[in-house]
Amino acid sequence: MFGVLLERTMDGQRYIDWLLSGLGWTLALAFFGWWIAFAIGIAVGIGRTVHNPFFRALARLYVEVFRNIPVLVQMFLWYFVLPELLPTTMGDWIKQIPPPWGSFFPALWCLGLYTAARIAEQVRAGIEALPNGQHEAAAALGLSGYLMYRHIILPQALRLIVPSLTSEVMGVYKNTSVALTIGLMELTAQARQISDATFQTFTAFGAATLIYLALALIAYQTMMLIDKAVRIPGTAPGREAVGSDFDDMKLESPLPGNMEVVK
Amino acid sequence: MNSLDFSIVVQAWPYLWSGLLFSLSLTAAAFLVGMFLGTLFALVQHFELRILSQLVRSYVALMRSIPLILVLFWFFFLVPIVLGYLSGGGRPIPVGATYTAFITFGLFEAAYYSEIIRVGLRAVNKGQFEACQALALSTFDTYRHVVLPQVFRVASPIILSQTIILFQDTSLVYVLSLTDLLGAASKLAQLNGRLVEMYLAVAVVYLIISSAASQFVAWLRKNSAIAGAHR
Amino acid sequence: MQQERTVSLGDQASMVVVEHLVKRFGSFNALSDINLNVAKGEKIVLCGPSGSGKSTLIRCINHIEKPDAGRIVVDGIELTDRIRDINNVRCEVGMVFQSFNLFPHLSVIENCMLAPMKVRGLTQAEANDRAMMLLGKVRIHDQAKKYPAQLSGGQQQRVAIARALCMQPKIMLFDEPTSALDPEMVKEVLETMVELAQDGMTMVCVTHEMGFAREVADRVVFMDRGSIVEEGDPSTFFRAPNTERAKAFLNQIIH
Repeated sequence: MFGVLLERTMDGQRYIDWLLSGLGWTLALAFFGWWIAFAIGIAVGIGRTVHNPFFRALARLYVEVFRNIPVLVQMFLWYFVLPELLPTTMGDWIKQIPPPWGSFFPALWCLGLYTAARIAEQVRAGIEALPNGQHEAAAALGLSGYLMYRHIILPQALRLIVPSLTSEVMGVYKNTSVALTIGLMELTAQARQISDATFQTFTAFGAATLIYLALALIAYQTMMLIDKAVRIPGTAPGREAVGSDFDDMKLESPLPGNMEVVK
Repeated sequence: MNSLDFSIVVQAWPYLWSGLLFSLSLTAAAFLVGMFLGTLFALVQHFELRILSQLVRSYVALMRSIPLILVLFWFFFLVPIVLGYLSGGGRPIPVGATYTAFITFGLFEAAYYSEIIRVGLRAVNKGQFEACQALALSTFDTYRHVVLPQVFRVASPIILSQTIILFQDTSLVYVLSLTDLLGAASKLAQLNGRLVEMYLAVAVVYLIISSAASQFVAWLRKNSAIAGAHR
Repeated sequence: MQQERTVSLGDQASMVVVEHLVKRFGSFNALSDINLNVAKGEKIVLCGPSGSGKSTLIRCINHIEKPDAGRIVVDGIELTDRIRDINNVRCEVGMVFQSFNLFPHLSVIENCMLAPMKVRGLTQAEANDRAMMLLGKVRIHDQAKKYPAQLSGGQQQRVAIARALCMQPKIMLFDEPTSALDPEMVKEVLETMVELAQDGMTMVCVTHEMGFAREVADRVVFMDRGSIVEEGDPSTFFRAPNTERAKAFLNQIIH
């Protein structure tokens, strides 16, 4: 069934090369997008919990805007609208960037900033889940602000949210598919291309599906490993899945208000 | 920076509105179908009906692992074939993109709703089941009158949050060239060339609706917490 | 749909017969070879240290726990694994739980009406009348429209008693009905149970309330580590228990 993938295409490659190229773009987008999202997400998440009302409001605004607009719409804003809103010289320069990169970078920033908003909420929930005593003890020891967050609050909060971050990780690589609407030939786009070229729709989409499933499994296992690796000795396991029951993972997070399932 | 002219949005509003109605109707349909099937799926897993349970779990895992766009492509390809097979003819029945979208979103959301309901079922106090047993209530009556009402009551904020996500996801029907809100804006933008205003308008509409709905859910959460302890 | 029992099954000497009952949880023997007869109208108090199996025993009587061996007969009905037998028994047996287990999303009266309508087939009006009557008996009919979360613990437990009585059971099981209550509310629930006893209900109670046992019980059954160690009438048992274990237990609880 998957034999067709080994056939030659018109431009001398094999169809499987198309698929692998798509996978490459997907992975690149997901990987770099995740790190952007993680960095910004932590910053905004902290911003949601600081005392300063200005930063809180700013962080709140960020989250509201980037969470309530669909990814696809944000993608269009980055690709079509941003170049128009910038000063003409900058806008033109952006529009001139050649195809794969011209689509890749808007997609990257879109995905990064969108996912950051979601991560920010997880981080906020993690911080708020810590007992007040942690803030108080840190303050009593003279640790405040950056030091407190860096050494006391974040290490604990981030450990708490590892299970729920799993679904954000999966969300990132799933959302890479949205980039096909602005011309990035990622995995799903290539699958459609192969299907159009060979009429072997089942094979083409089936291959892509299997690859995504593999990515999901890898993501899930990796997060489980991380969870185990960073666990504080003596604490109970963070309600992880029994056996390899894939589905329980997200919703067994210890944070009550956070049961929003991510696509 | 070119000058922006938002009057074009006002002119275009009727067409955009019809697109928005499509998005909303798709959301509503997917909600109804998704909740119905999702409850069934959750119950199947809750009762641990061996083979069926495994099938449902695999289905849910699949839907949660692959991108929605890919699911839309799959269903666009498969639905005519499956319908043709079911109708006994064997010939694929050409089903328009619209029907495909409705079917796809309903079945896709069912996976997500079923997870929420399944966790909700597990959270019901065991004593409730025992009280129903002691009163000789049938399994059907137990779930219909005692267990499921409690599950829905407790899970309603989460279900609503999921529905807001669903509403945003309906924008993906763009890949099937359907005219939802974004599709309408896109088509108009091609005609009048005013991409910026069109897409910004779409963003604002989504922002307002989703934000308002989220505030409502937050309010709901706060209120149901006050209304009596959970005993 | 269960029909109303209008004809009693003649002169059944024993309402409940338990023979050679065994129940294990994994490798733990909760009940080892329990034999017990409860006569019609008799009031039994089960007492003993925690882990003695007293809750497990009464939960076997209405099959909330499934026995591993032995025989249980309730009001002439043999309790097997068949759904029909189980449901028949559950219609005749009412149970009151330590944590009340009221349905939080239904009002007090709806809590009481649900089972008679769905199981006994009563109409809404009939169920309503019966519920109001029984809520009146436990002196809580003025709270009929309220929701469980709006009531105190003692009130909730009385509603639970009324809910069980609405099925017109032949025997009432009580699983530590006052253990989860604040001390000032224990009295109102015990008073309700005493009235029930005086009306002639067959009762099996697991309780630590020894005053109640002395006042109401026809027989006290002392259990320890899964077996019945001693039984007898209350006055004898409390004054001069026979066995060492019973003596030790009473020393601990009567200060």
